[in-house]
Amino acid sequence: MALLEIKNLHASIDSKEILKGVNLTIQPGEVHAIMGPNGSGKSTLSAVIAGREDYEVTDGDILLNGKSILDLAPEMRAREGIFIGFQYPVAVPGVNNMQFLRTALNAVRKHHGETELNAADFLKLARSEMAGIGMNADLIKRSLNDGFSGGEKKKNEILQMSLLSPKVAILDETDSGLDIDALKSVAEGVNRFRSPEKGILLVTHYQRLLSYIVPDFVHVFADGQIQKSGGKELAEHLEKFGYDDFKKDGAENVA
Amino acid sequence: MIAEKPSTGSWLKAKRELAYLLSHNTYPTNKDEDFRYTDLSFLHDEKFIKLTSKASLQAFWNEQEIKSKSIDSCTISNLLETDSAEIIESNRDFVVSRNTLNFELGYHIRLNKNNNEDWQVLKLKHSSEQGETFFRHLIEAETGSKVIVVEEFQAENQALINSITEFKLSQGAQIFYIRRQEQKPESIHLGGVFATLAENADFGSVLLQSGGKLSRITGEFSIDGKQANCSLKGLATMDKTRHSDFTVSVRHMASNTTSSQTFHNLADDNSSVAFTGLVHVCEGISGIEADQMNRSLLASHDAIAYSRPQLDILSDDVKCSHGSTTGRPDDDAIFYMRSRGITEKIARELQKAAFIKAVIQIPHAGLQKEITDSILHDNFQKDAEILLEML
Repeated sequence: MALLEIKNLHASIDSKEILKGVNLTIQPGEVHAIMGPNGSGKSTLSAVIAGREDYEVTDGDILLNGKSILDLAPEMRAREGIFIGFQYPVAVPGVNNMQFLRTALNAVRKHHGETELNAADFLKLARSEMAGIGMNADLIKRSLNDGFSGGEKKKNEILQMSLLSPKVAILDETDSGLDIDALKSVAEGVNRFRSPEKGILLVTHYQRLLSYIVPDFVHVFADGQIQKSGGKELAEHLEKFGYDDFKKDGAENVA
Repeated sequence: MIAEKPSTGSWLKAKRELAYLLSHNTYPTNKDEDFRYTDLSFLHDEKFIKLTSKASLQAFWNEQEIKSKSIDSCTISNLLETDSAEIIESNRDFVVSRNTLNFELGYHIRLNKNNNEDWQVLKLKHSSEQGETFFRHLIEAETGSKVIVVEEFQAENQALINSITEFKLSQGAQIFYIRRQEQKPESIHLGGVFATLAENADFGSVLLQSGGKLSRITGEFSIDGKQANCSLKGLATMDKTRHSDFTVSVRHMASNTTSSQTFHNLADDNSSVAFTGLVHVCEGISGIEADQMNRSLLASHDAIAYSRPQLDILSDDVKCSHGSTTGRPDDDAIFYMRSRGITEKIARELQKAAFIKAVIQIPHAGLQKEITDSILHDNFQKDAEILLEML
């Protein structure tokens, strides 16, 4: 059974259709990359999968392990195993990063009938994961994303992903705003997460990230749809020739 | 009328004569005084104001009830019975005049040099069952004193409390003042806090307004001595149709002095919150640093926030900032938290709780925990424990 299946997904915001029939299937163990120009609807796809209520799904379905998640609230989607790594993680002043993450993790664990982690066990786990992505240990004690640099925010997203251990991780432009060292650290975190049971969907503009996280499939996203799918060589082609061939009204012209 | 009051000192008789002339026995509208957002004239029609006051006042020193005139480094007496006292002029505003004219319960407290380095805690518990009740305190902090003064106000629905507290800080005195108003939802709370700071004195405070259908607090602080500091924080949490008003002014009268004002107002339902803040820097002084910030969080579409931050600077060597923000809960932050498995209710409450907790900063771990826990429990009931874990 497919891990995540997106079937003919149409979604609108303020009566403007952004997603115009997206079809995508992610099997366990697969890493997919969606690439596309600005304004093509890539981030909308992430937001709709996460359950952002500003968007209206007008047709189609999203299935996680064969079950539709469209009627689930965002928090229930998260508990069922959907994780979104945000392009712009939000700062929440006053909310302690560690305690927030522990509460989130315990909400997921409780949902799956697992025992909740106490503060000491959680901290031990979090420190181990932080070391794995080269994240400053002090960041766990601060307010959630508050005053974090761009790189620190993205590492915090990867930390959350590692701790929550979702079935499918959708990483929305995780590479944006990162210097090369931070990019490598984030990529290492994603590669550590990669496993035969998990699915990953990378949303990105550039091939750069895919040099460090080698995808199994690459999809070109333009005008609210997947226009072309292929292997990692498709990303290299896009890096050389850009997206012109796939922009609105452009004929698909990839070898 | 004045003679009927049980005043004993000639000092008080003189004050009351002036107060009588000023008060006219008539509650002001928002056009009569500089409290633009709070109209008190409706109090004329409140029948419970005419009820005979039933009130009580208790004082505690480090949790022990004070029963004698002196305990440790604190001496305490009935303000009405004191031989002489310099209290503020009644021409400040109507509420002060009315208080000066009518107060019957209050202390004259002298805080002497501490016996050790730790913060000592003086707690004053005020309560009123009905009618219009006036409390008045004069607290003189001597050099070497280091005391947290906590004032708690409880009132039943048919009560109005008018309470004024004055501080005089001598050189190097340290006072942290907590004013906690948690009256029943139909009651009224009026009053204020006034302080003068001598050289090297340090005055911190957190003013907490969570009860009453109307509360109006005035704060006036005069930094008279060099190197003195005045740090003020305030929090109002209002809902239904309730109204809160903080009107605060800090006057820098000496060089190398610092001050800050941080006031958070949270308004839900049809409630309204107001902040008027002034930083005044007088002529001919230098090395002043002053910050002023008012944040209002509107938790419903019908809530109203008023904000009037003001600077009045008459010197050059001054570093001052002021600002005001008013906004609704951050939907992006709520969605972000939900996407990690946190329920929408908790995510919304968490934003409010963080906003509340940001201004509760008390230099005493026990009081910090006690007051934070209590306010979050009052606001969020059974969710408070979950929220407290995440803050």
